[in-house]
Amino acid sequence: MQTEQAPLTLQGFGLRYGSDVVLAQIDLQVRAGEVVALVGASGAGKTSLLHAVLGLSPAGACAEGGLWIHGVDRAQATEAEWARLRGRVLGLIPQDPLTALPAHRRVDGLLDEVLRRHQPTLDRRARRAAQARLLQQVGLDSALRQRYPHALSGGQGQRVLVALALAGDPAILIADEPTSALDAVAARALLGLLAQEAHARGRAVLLVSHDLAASAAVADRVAVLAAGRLVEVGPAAAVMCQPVHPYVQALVAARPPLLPPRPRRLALAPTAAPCAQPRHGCAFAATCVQADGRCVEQVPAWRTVAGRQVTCHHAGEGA
Amino acid sequence: MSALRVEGVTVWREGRCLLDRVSFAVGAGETVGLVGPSGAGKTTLLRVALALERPTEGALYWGDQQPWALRAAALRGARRHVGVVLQQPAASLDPRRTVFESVAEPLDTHAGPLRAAVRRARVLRALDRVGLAASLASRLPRAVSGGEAQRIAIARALIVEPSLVLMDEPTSALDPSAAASLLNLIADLCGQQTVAFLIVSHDLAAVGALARRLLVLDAGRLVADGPTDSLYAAPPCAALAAALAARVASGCGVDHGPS
Repeated sequence: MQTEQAPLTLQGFGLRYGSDVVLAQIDLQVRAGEVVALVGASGAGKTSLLHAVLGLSPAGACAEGGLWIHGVDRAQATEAEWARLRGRVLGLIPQDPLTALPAHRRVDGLLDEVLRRHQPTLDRRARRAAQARLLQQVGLDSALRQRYPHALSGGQGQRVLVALALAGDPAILIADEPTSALDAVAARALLGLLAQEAHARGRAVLLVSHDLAASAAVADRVAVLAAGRLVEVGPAAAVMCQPVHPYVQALVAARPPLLPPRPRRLALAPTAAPCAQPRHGCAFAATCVQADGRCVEQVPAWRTVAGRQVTCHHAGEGA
Repeated sequence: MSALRVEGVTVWREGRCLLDRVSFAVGAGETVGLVGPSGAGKTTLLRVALALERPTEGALYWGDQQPWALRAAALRGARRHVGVVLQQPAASLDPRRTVFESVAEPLDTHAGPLRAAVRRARVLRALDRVGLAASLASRLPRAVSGGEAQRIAIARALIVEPSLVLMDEPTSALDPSAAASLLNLIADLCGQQTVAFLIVSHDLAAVGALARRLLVLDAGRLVADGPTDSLYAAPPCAALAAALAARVASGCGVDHGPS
């Protein structure tokens, strides 16, 4: 099984900070050549999951269940092993170029540092060539390499972050809200670049976002996280256009339409109960309009409804 | 009389023209959206409208006042008429002050010393107006959510009863549910037509949900000014067409792109 495994595999993964359960029963695979969007509201556990995948969970965090990075079991990985994985196997694209890029370093200096660390066999000339290749790969003019971060636009800075993440030629690329600082056109172009890294170069791309519509546009699959649990996982178009979990339906309905008719009030997604304690019942039992006795008493198990995985007792009933 | 009038505003900075002869007015109680790609000059225009940046050429009016014709003390007093809500809710609040003190600050600046009971009543009324419970008043910013922080910023802007509020990307840092809830609130405030709003955003749908009239800025020029729905249905300029196309590509029935 280990040999068949997807580059990023989570199986029954959970995470606790003290007695607070922040993630529970996460089953998710990101295969080579696909983009998976991890979507959820603030506080759903997106960042905790991302930190866990990078081996950067805060001290005192207690992980359980399976997490494999390129076949390496997190339970057996030493700190040295994590250090090797980060950069060379796991590439991270942080959220905001202005805070992620050191203000006093030029683009070429930053790229050179990452290349030296991850490809130590390259000499200076080869590193220069690699820099030019990376910049071209992310669609940046090579003249930009002499700029400092403040002299880059938001879209250019974000592309520099992608180039830095790609410098170690990672099998897994993780993007943390990469478009939240960009306008629609720049955001679209950046997401296209990520999709290309997956589809043309066979990387496994995990796109973390709170924008369901934007991520569904480029993702192959979408996984919706609420209160530390996955509630619906499936093909992007299916989840975006015909969601079956009531929470995901509400998330989709919470976006205002571009053109009339417009609703008088936007619908609000129900809030999930935090999964702080071992819980009976569905996290949405208190707020969901469809909730009944079963929802209060039984934790919904994974079911397959209309081609996707979903945790809801009632999903698919209305169809 | 309009709440805000900008006439032939041109801004040059470091040899670059950031705004080029921009003119528009926002009527009393009117809600207007302002969109444009990154680098179009939206933020510069906001700074000009707030009288934080003096244009190289052109005139600015708040009601019948010209802020740049006022002396410094009078300009500080006139600022009461213009409130602002910034993009990053967490960063726009002082981390050491309670919510109560943050909301009371503009009142202290512009309404002079008030009796403690009056001050408290006005702060609580301002919080209530944005849907926040009085129990939130004693918290520090680190203990409020992004959506709550943005409501606090709105309460701060509204407490001195300005005639105009400028909003810079009010929902872009929020998740969809929090954003929808905030949009409902802003739509209510806009609907009351007591305060004029100028709403700057990348999010065309959010602007569409709030503003019937839309301004489009591209490369420092005002390239469109008209009813939001007709501009979305038939974008008259490349900047808006590109933004709509980028959005629509994500759509199934949900996003309602132009047909």
